[in-house]
Amino acid sequence: MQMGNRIRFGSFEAVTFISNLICTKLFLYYTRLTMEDAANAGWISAIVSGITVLIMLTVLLRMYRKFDGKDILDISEIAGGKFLRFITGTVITLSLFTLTVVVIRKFSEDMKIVSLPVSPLSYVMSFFIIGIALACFFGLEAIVRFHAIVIPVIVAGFVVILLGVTPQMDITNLMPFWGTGIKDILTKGFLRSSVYGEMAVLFLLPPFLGGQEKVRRVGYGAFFLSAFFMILGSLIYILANPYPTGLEPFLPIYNMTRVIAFGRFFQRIEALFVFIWAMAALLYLTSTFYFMVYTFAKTAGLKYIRPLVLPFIVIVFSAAFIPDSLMEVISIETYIITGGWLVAFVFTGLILAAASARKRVRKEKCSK
Amino acid sequence: MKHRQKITRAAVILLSLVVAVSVSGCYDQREIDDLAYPLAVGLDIGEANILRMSLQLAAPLAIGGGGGGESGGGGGGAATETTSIITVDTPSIYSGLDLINNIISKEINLSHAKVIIISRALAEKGIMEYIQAIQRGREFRPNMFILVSEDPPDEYLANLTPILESNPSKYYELLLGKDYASFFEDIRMSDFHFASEVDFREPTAILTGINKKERVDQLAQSGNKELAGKMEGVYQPADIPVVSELKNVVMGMAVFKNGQMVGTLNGAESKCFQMVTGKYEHSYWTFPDEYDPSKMVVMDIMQRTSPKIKAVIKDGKVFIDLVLDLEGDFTSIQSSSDFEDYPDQMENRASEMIKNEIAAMLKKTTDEFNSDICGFGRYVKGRFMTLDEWKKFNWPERYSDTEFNIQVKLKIRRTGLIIRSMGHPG
Repeated sequence: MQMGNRIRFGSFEAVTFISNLICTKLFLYYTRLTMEDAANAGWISAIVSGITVLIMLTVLLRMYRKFDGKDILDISEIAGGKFLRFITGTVITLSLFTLTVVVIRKFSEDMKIVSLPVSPLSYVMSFFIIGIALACFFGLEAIVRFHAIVIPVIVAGFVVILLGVTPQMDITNLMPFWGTGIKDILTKGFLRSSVYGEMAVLFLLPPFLGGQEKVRRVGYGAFFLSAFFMILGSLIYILANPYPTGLEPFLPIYNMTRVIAFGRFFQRIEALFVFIWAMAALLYLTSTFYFMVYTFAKTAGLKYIRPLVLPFIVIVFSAAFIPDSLMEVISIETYIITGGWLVAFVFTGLILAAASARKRVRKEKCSK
Repeated sequence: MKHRQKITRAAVILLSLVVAVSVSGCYDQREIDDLAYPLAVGLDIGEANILRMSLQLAAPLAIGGGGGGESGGGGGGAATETTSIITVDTPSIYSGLDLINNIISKEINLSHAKVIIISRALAEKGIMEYIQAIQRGREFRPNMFILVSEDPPDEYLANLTPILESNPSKYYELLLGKDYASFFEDIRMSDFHFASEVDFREPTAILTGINKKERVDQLAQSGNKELAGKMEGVYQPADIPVVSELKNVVMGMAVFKNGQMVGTLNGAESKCFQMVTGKYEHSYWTFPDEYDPSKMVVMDIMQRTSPKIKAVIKDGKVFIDLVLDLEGDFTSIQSSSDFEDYPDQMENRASEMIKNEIAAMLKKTTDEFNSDICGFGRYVKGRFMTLDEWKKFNWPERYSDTEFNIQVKLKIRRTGLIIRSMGHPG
């Protein structure tokens, strides 16, 4: 696969692609996290996160208007030459590398806890690793098109789960209304905008999307779709799980599916959960891994991606074993979901601002 | 082009081989025939160790063969039991499973366990450490029924001999999950776990025991004579005046506070409890006839809408307004009074009696147990804006001071197949 080969895909594919990158956290921890942040008012905190991201995204898209068709690496070159392009590429590659390593380890550990307790971690992880490698060999077009097919299935499964817990819901679980207080809702809600950090991948997509109007449409489309499910997931989790019981589950949505039972026959819905959860995980890992390799290759000026896939697979697989335990992975993850917004939104914003300023200066010089 | 096709073909074959080898059996692959499935787990205070754990293991071949019949192999013709009980004294649930795995040939798998039976002695000592362990385990189902047994679980399980059901698993589902027997609530492990961790409700469990009466002449010694002709269900499991081949009886509820059992509600009180929590479906109620107290009026009473509960705090004291909306059908009017034409009298009398029963049950929860099993705290916490304010209020300690204002609305709707009682000609 050549870097120069220009692939184009539609808005729907791109929206499902970015939405999955954001919403996978719903299956992992997000609902519990909102409860940890603001107790009963976690869902309000989720709304605050959504509003924060909407504001940041609007600012970024407005700044991006001057760079039609260019991705963040090209823009960084405009802002600070090859050096800034190298810095930007390194930051993005390392961010995506960290996300891939943390998530592959966590998903494998989750899978081990939920379904494969006896299997060695390396064996469980190898399924994800093989899946990622194969998908990357098939290329971005295959990955994105597969998103467009699978995401509606995942959404349907998730909706079934949410509907299934309706009998467990109790409106009084939302009381006291402000939970741990307005201060927590605002500050933690703001910091948790980091869970939308993968939105930054939007600024790697323009060469594949085309015009900037399409970038705008994809950005807002992915945001509203993700925010809807993130807020809905948080609200329904709190309605179905009273505080502080809802803080306990390691995999909140999985635990929620375990209590779904209608009569003697419609039970054990977690089988559906494991299915949609594994699909979402594989898509997430494939996406982050692909763009990690893509960014690395583009930063290094390499023409082909495929030769990089296997070396990076080996590095990711090895790095995933560095954390000693699941608890250590969770603590690394906590840093990411608290400070991720700095890389995703502030860093991107600074590059766009610097590039805009540089462009303006150049324009002024030219006009003089 | 040809070279490319060859590579693709080789890749497809290689991939198929990898998939075929890896998915045909992995480390976690288990043959269903290699596993032993406990249907009930009993927990009691141990003697040789901290905990006494009993497992009621299913014998799938006997269950499949109709139970008590010939074994699946067909040979021999010896009667087979559908279950087998194994009891072990152990430091914890999971180490007990390890011990049992050293005795039986198959590996224990708890994913089909239907009930957890806890002895009263252990329940009074405290069970949270075991509930926590069960919640952490992936095999235990959150929708298992949770029972407290007046008798030791090993003895209880030994006396459990379903007659109408060959499948013990289905027996538990049908007995404990039914919505028309109101003398106990359908309580699952997840309900118990939720209630034991929140600060606005306390947990309850289904109360069960062994009925030791063998002959009809023993019935005279059971129950409370003073209660004869009054409410049905005023019994504890062992007191029910019944003789049956089925020895296990489910009646009433065990009440918990801070993870320890603090008392029991009998069947009638459990009915009231379910009315207050909105989980009541329908059951028969017997009321003395106003004009002839030796005669009874029996009604099938159902809950029309969910109870309306409002909490008000005045000077630090909580006042609960509780409105119950019920409807009833005449099932029997022994005196042949014309209540069908004048149902208001019976409506007022029945609603007054139900109200008194509910008030007595609530008084028991405040004065005797000091345990908010009905979850009124859910409505009280709605009066606070933040969690800190709610925690400072310290609801679990204030529950005993709560005052209830109960209103029971009962409307008689139907009369059965008889629209007018004609009585005896004499």
